[in-house]
Amino acid sequence: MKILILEDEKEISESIAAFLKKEGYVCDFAEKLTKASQLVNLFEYDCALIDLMLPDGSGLDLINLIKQKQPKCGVVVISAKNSLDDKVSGLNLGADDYLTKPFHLVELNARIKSLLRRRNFDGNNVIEFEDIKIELEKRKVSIKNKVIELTRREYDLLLFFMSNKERVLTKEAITEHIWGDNSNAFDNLDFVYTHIKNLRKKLSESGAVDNIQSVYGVGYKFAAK
Amino acid sequence: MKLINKISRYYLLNSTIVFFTAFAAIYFALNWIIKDDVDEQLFVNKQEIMKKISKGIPVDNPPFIEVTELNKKMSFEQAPGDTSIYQAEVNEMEPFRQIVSFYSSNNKHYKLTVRTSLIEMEDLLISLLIIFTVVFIMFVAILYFINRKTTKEIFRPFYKNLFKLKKYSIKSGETIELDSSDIDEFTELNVVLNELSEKASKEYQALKEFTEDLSHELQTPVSIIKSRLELLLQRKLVDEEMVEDLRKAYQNINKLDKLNRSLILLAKLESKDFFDSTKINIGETVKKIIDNFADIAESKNIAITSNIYSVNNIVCNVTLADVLVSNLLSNAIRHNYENGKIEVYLSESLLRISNTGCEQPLNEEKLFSRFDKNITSKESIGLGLAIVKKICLLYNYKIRYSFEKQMHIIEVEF
Repeated sequence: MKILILEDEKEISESIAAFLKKEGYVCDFAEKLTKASQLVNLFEYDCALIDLMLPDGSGLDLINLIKQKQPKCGVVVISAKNSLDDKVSGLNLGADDYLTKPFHLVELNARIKSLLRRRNFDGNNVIEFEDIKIELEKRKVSIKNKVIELTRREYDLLLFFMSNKERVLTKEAITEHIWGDNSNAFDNLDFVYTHIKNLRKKLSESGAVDNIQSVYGVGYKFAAK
Repeated sequence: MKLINKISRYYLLNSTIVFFTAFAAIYFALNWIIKDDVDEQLFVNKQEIMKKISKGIPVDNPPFIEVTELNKKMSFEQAPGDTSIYQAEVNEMEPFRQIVSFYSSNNKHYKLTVRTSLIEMEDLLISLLIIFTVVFIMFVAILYFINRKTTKEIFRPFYKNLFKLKKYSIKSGETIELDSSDIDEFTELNVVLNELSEKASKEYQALKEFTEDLSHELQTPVSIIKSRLELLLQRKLVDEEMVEDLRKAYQNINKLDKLNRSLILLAKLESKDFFDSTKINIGETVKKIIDNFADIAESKNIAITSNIYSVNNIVCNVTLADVLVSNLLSNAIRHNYENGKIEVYLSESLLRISNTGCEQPLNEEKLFSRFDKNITSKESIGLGLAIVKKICLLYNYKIRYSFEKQMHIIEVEF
């Protein structure tokens, strides 16, 4: 999987790349629109992360180019410009997703994965890990081929965990992912715990290995035991 | 007190003082002049009476002339004086002026009293004073109205400018266009005001730009710190103290991030940037947000009851409508206690969110201002309601706070 990162702040693109490399992605960087355009003309990408405010133009132009040259490439807009209009115009131009900087790296990871899944596995979109199987289209979870009933929150949590295997998910990242941007009004994030507790209970009752570990003081991690 | 009334009041007060002084002066002056005249007349009369007495002509005519024979000669003369004498005809005491003198003729001695009635003189005096009073009052009244009219005329540009100043907002970025006047003081005032408003406006713009720039500039370093800390968190950390330090740093960079995002939104709202507005079903928005926060409320055992009757669409930006409702509801959850209550009511044009919380009513003015310490609990960043207020201002929604039956109520009228 190849990802193009168009971002003028080198520090940011480096940390994004450092995170994504561990997922097995190959990352190319561009700090300017011109360089990004050259790269798009030369190589094929599965996904492009595009900052809108660039020293030599707007990232919206690159979205246009990608849509013409590589219609299969997914586009995620990452913008510091907390502008609602940018979001709309970005999505109208064919961007698949939109993230406002600063974002959680695990959130970006989940978004990229979901985007790639949507693009690559038409109709038959399944994530599996050990005994757990998620059928994304049907929002169905089964363990050892036995369907289990999860609440909406539990399902979203499990999917988020399975998109970020072996990663520490902080409570902040989980809250923003599940409850959305507006949940950041809450500093006391204990309500996350209840849902995770219930999810773990349901998983282990159904005979799956409890892969959710709590990382003291920070958050949780989904990893093979 | 209005300037024009103040001027009128001073004018009337001074006129009254002048009136009484003039009245007293005229009274005493006339009195003196008339009495002097009367006295002269009395002397002339006396001389004539004396002549008549020496010729033996009877002169007694009380009360005007009284002649008494005396046994011995007296020779002093009294100055003219006032006296009152009972008049049977009118059954009253009436004022007279009299001179008493002693006179000897043909070895006879007389005491001679000559009098003049002062009734006519008094009448004259009163008539004169009445005429004076009437003329004076008319004079003052006419001047009073002329004064008021001119003052009004003179101050017209002043009041016009005052009205403009009242409407002027430093946030508009415009300068005030003040009406010119041919009065030097007003022209000077206009110049000073223009300079002042220009300067204030410039400084306000600069400050605003600074705040906006600052928030935008902060975004990148905050992004970098946040992602670096997240990378660090992914490492295998064994040192517990290090984890603790890292956790604190991470928590606070998240807080800073939230704060900065809120400030950027506030700045955007304040600059009245164009927000794409569409018709949205506010009822659906409210339902969606209640649904999203339901489990958060549940974790504090707070019961949310909602009555949503609206089928009305309001014109608003989708994101801003979300922010408005979310901020109100998250506020109602955050400042609530365990086992508390939240009631959400939505009709055609009114959204009311009531919640239990602290037992004292809050200060409405402070409630919607930034960073109010009173309501800033540990977990709040104190900008939520300021943002709500600004959204309401942008769309001309009315927002009210009240405290009834131990419930804090915030109402938004669309």
